[in-house]
Amino acid sequence: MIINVKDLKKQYKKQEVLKGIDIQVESPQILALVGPNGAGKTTLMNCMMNLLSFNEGSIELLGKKHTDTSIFHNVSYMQDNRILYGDLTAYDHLQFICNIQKLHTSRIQAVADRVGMASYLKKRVRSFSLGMKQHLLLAMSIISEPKLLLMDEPINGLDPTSAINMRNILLELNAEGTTILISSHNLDEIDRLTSTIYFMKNGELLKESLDDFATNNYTLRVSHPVMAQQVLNERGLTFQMTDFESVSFEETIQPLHIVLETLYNHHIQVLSVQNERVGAERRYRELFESELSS
Amino acid sequence: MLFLTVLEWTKMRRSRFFKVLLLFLAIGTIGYYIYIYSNTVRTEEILSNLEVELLSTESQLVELEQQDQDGSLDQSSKNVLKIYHDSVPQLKAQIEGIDTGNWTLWAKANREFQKFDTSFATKPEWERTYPTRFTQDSHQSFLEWLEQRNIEPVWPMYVWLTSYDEVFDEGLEPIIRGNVDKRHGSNGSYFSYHLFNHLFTFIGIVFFMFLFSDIITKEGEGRNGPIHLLRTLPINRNAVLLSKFISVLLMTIGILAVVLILATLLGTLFDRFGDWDYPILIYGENYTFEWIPLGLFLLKSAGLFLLGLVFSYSILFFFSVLTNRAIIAIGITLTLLFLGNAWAEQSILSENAHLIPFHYLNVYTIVSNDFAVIQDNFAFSFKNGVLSLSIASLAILLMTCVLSIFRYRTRG
Repeated sequence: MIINVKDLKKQYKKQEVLKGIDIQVESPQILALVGPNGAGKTTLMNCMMNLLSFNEGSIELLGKKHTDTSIFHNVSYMQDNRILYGDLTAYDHLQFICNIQKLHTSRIQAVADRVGMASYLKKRVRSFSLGMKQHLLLAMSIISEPKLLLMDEPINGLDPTSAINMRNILLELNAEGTTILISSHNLDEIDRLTSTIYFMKNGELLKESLDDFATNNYTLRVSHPVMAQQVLNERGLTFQMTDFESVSFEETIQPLHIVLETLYNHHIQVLSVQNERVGAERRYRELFESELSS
Repeated sequence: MLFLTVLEWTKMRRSRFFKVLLLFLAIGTIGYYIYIYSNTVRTEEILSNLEVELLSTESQLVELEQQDQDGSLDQSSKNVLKIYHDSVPQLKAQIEGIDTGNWTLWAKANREFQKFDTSFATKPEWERTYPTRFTQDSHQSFLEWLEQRNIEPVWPMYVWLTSYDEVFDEGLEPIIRGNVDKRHGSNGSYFSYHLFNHLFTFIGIVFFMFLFSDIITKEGEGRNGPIHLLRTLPINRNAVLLSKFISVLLMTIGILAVVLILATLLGTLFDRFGDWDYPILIYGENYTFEWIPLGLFLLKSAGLFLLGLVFSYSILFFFSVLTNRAIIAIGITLTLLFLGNAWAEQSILSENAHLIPFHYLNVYTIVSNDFAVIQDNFAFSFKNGVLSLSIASLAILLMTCVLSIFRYRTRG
C-alpha cells in the first residue's frame, strides 16, 4: 500500500485537530486535499512526514512505518519555503539533496531545466521571489524521482506559465508511477489535476470523487448576442451574458444541446465554444457554504 | 554525516555575517601586527646602546685606573673598578654576539653580566620584593636556554619580571612593568604568541560564539525552519546535531590555523620567521619552574581554548534546543558565560573552585600556571582545565540529547 493512514487523531491544547483520519491508497494516483485555512491539511501532512506527533492511529507509507527515515529515499515533501537556506544558492540545495540521496549531480541541471529555473540556479535563495522559491522547492522534491510526493500549497506564488508547467510535471510524474498528495486552495488547478479529492473540514476527512460532481461550464461566443439573449429568455433557459458577446451556463443547470438547438433554430451562429470543468469548486461551495456565507 | 558537514561548510562559506567577522579578524590581525612591528625594539638599537655603554665603561675604567695608579682610590671605588674591569670583555662579547648573530655567545656573556648583581641568590624564596629570587633564577635559566639553542631573544632584555614580583622600590614599578610591556617581537613565531594571547581568552570565546551562532542555530529546532528539510530526508536525527558540532569544531581549527599562518607570514615577510622553541615560562609548585618551547605552548593553549569553545558551543546547543529561537539561545548563552565568569571569580577561594569550568577560559594564564601562582592554588592546572571543561561539555551535550529526544517525542 502506498499510503495507509488509519484512524489518525491529534489533539492540540485540548482541541481535536484531526478526528480519526483514514486514507488508503493502493495504486499511483493524484489526490487533492482541500479545505479552508485551519482545517488541518498541513497538520495531516506534517504527521504523515513525522514532523508532528499524533495521539492515536497509525501511518504507513510505501509499506513502512512513517518513523522509519529510510522512507525518505522514496518519499518527498514539498513544504513551506521557510525550509530553504537564504544564504545558499539553488544549486547548493539541490546538490545537498543529491549527496544525501546518493544521486549523480548531473540531475541538477536536468531538473532545473524541467522546472524552468536554470537561469537562477547559481543565485542565492535570499534574492528569490515567492515563485522562484516554489520552483526550487518543486525541484528539490522531484529530483529524487520519489514514489510518493506530498505537496503543501505548491501553486502559491506561481505565475500562470509556471502553474501550467507545474501541472504538466505532476501529470508526467503521475504517469511515471508517482503518487501525489497535494493540498491547494486553487480549485481550478485541482480540477485539472485529479478527480479524487479529500475535503477537510474541522479535522475530518471526506473523500469525494469529482466525477460524481464535475460539470462543465460552457461559454459560447455568438454572432448576434442581443438576439441570442432574447430567444434563450423566451425559451426559459438559465444563462449569463459575458462581455456582451458570449453566453455562459453550467451544464448541470442547462444541457448544452438544448442551448445549441435553440440558437440554431433562430439562425444564430455559434462562433466558438469554451468548456471548463468545475467540479471542485462546486462541491466546495456545497460543503463549505456556511464559511462562504459568513 | 560527511554531506551534512559539507552543508555546514557551504552555509558558512556563503554567510555574509561570517565573512564580515572573518574580515574583521584578518584586519585585526594585520592592524595588531602593524602596532607590534612599530613597537618592536630592533637589534641595531640594542647594539648601539651596548656600544655606548662599552664606551662609557671604558672611559670610566681609564679614569678609575688612573686614580688607582695615583693611589687616590678608596676601597668601594676599587670594587667598582673590578666590576668595570670584568664587565668590559662581557660587554664586548655581547656586542660581538649580536653583531655576528652568535646568540650563544651573547646569552653566555649576558648571563655572566647578570651575575654582577650582588643580591643574586641571596634572597629567601618567599620574599616578594623585586627582583625576587624566582625572578633572578628564572632569568638565568632563560638565558641558558637561549645559549644552548642559539636563539635570538626578544628585546629588551634588561628587565625580567615574574608573577612573584609584588613589592617594588618606590617609583620603580611603572618603569619595570612599562619595559616588560614593551617587549614585542615582530618575528613570525613570537607575533603569533602575542596574537593568540589576546584570542585565547574569554573575548575570543565570545567572538567565536558570534561567528558560528548563526550557523549553529540556523535550523531553529522545532520551528518550520530548514530543520524540517533535514527531517524529511533520509538522515539520522542525531547526525544533524553531531555534524554541526564537528563542522563548527573543524572550522574553528581551520580559522585558528589560517590566523596562525597569516601571523607567521606577516612576521616572516616583514621581520623573520623566529623560533618555535623560544622558551616560555611555566610556573611550578614551591617556586619551581620549567620552560617549554613556544610551539608546544601554543599547541597546548589551542587545545585548551578549543575545549573552552566546545563547552560554550554545548551551552549554545542546549539553549538552541530548549528555546527553539536562535537569537534567544545566543543571548542566554552569552549571558550565562558572563555570569559564569563572574560567579567563578566570586567563588575563587572555595575548596572546589578548580572544578568550575569558567575558570579555564583565559587560556595562557592556565597553561603557564600564572593563574595558579596568582591564586596560590596549583589545582588550577592545565590538566584540571582539560578535565573540567571536557566533563562539563559532555554533561551539557548529554542533557541536550535527552532534551532533544524529549522535545522530538512531544513535538507539535
